[in-house]
Formats: sequence, structure tokens, C-alpha cells
Amino acid sequence: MNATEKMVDLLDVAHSTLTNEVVPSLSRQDRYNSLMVANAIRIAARHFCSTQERHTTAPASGLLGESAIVKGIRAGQFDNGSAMRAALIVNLRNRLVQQLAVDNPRVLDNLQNSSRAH
Amino acid sequence: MPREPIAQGSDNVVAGLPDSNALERVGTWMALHDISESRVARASRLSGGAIQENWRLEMDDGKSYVLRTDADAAIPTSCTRAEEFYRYRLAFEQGARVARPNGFCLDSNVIGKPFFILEFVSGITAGHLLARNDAYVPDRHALASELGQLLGVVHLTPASNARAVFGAAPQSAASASIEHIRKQLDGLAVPHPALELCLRELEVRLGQATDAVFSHGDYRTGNYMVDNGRVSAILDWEFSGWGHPNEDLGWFTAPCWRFGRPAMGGGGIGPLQSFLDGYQEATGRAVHPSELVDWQALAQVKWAVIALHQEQRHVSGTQRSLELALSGRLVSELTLEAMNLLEIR
Repeated sequence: MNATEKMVDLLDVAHSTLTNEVVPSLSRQDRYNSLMVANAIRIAARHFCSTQERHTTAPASGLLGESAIVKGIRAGQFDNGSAMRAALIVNLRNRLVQQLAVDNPRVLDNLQNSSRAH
Repeated sequence: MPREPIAQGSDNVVAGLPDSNALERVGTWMALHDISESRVARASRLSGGAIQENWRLEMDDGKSYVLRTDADAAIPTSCTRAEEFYRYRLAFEQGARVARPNGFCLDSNVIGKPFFILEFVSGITAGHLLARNDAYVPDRHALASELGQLLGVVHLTPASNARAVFGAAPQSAASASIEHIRKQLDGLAVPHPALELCLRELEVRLGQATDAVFSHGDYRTGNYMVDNGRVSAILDWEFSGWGHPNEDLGWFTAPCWRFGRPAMGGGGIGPLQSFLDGYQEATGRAVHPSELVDWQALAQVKWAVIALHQEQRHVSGTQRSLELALSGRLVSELTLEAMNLLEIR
């Protein structure tokens, strides 16, 4: 195990101890708080894993800063028909998918493949 | 933002109100305003208010009231308690199912901050219980339909009555809402281009919509009380105002407010069609589910921005809280769902 793997392992064992040995004996409010703590531990562990696996994702554009992109979006420069729209969407969706893999991977498949019908 | 059922026998008291002198002053004020001649025997704090505090006042004669006042931290969109009182009163006078507002107190000598008194109503609000436990909702069609009807009653408020509280309606309530969300995004430390792209798309699609009605502004599971399977009161009117009717409908039916029951498009507690049928019964307006998709995307974006502000409150140190910190972890899901609804792919 390298240093990051050890940290992830530490968080995993903390999560497992909390959920298996502490939570079952708690009152309802304490259980709610403890499950939030367990969730936070899992998110932090996944964050460590993901940053180890990938190099930092490129920003929304290689040339433009985020603020400039926002300004362009508000001005309609990325509206339907714009040449830059497709690349921006791919980049934004990729970043959201990577973040969701950290935040809540259970819903990832569903949201990546979901249709519009609701 | 979970809200617990009414606290039973809670000793969860904070400085100020439970003090016997303060309770006596509240009782005197209530008597002066013809609300109750009885003494306040006890005050217990009800859970669920990040923006406001709610206290149950138990009177010597056995009746109960709710005292609503400011919490220590307020999110940027919250209104004053006085404004909120007038909104409750408007809703009550239109026949909306809302706890009767009994009087507003601006005198800081009573409890140290403004408050108002509401009739006490029993019921549960917890979304996860209403969505998953049939014991609380024996007839899901009936509850969803009732919720549609009750929202319709609010939307039928004559424009002149709403104007008296909110002033003139905006030219486009949808555009005003989008602009408001943009301003909230501008208040964050980091840009959020995915949310911005959704908002721009919504501006293009909805910006010309001119309908405006008295809207609740936060009509969703968790903000109404259910007793014996029926709605006993609609809560939390502080975000009410002029709005496009579909904004309330989209907020109620959006994926983010289904409490783990994605197939239950009626706020997680019942079928979407039952909710829309109830709305049509009250208003005469038939709404097809496809009309709501863009408004559901708006709801996703709006909740994402609120979640970012909640996270910021924690990160900035204004209110350190694990629950607020975890709100920030909802944003990627909310945003991706909004992009899917808008077919931005």
C-alpha cells in the first residue's frame, strides 16, 4: 500500500466500524447523524481514490477560464447551433459524471443512460 | 432538509423563549390581541427550521399554538417574518389549507425578535416516511389528487389580492425566477458553467412565458403535514409570491423531491397523473406531464443552487454543519439530471 491507499483503507475501516459496530445500537437521531458521518467518510474515500486514478480533468476549455465561459453562456455564445456547444457539453458532462462517481455512484448508471421521459 | 414529526415532549429548549418571564409576556400579548385568554404553560421547540424557529405553545386551557420567529441563520432568499405573516394571511383568506395566522408581533420587548402566532395543526411532514410507509398514506391516489387540488386553490387567488401583498406581477415570472437564480450563482465563490448552461437553455425555452399567479414557491413533500392520510396544512410560505403556475407544479414533481421513489412523480407520495388530475379539478386546467419537463429541470437547478449556498454557509463558518456540508454533494446529481431533462447531451 502506498500512502494514499493507506488513507483510503483507514477511511474504509472507519466507515465499517461505524456502520457495523456503532450505528445498530444508536437512537434514531444519533443514527441519522452517524449515517451522515458514514456517508461523508465514503465520499472522502472515493475522492482520494478518484484523484489517485486520474489526473486533474481539463477545465471546460483549454483556453477560456470558467468565468469567461459563464459570461459566454449568458451571452448566448453556446446556444444551440454554436460551434463550441458540443465540446462544452461533452466536457461539462464528463466532469459531472466524474464528480457523481465520488458523490453518489449508486445513481451514476441511471443518470448516464436516462431518457427524457418523466 | 429533513423535518421531523411534531416533537413530543421535547426538552430541546434554547435561550429566550422558554424563560418563564418570556412565556408570561407572550401570554399577555396573546390576551391583548384576543388570541387566547389562557396562560402559556409550556413551550417546546419543533424541529425542521434552518430559516426560522417554530415553538409549540401549550396553554393552560389545553389548546396549542405555534409561535414562529427567526432562526439565527437565514439563507439569502428568505423574507422577513412580517412579510411571511402577510403571505400566510393571504393564503388563509383565499381558502388555502394553511394554519390560521393569529397575529404578528413586532415588539422586541416580548421575546427579543418579531414573531407571529399560528393555529397548531397535527401531522407528519417527513418525506421519507410519507414516500415509503403506506401506514401514513393508505391511499396514494387520493393524497396526490388532494395535493393537486390544494395547489390549484392557491393558484386561483385573484390577481388583485396577490398584488396587495406582492405589488405588480413581473412581466415574465419565469424570467424573474431565472434571473434570481443567476444572482444567487453570482454570490458563490466559484463559477458553475453546467448550471449556467441549463439556465440559459431555460431562458430560451421559458423566457417568454407570461402567466403569473400567487405561487407557494416551495410546494413539495416535506412542506405539508399529513394526518390520517390527508393534508392537514401546507407549511412554509416564506418563498411565496408571483410565479408561473408550472414552476410550482415542476418543483413538486421534480426528480429531486421524490424521496427515493422515482416512479412516484407526484412528489414521491403518489402518481403524477393523480396530482395533475386534482389540479385540473380545482383550476379547470389540464396539464400534460410533458409540459412540466422544462420546469422540473428548473427545479433541479434551483435546488442545486440552494444546496451550493447551504454548503457555502458551512464552508464559510457561518453555520458549521455536516448536513449543510453534505448538501454540496448533491449538486452533481441535480445538475446531471437537469441536463438530461433538457436533453443537453
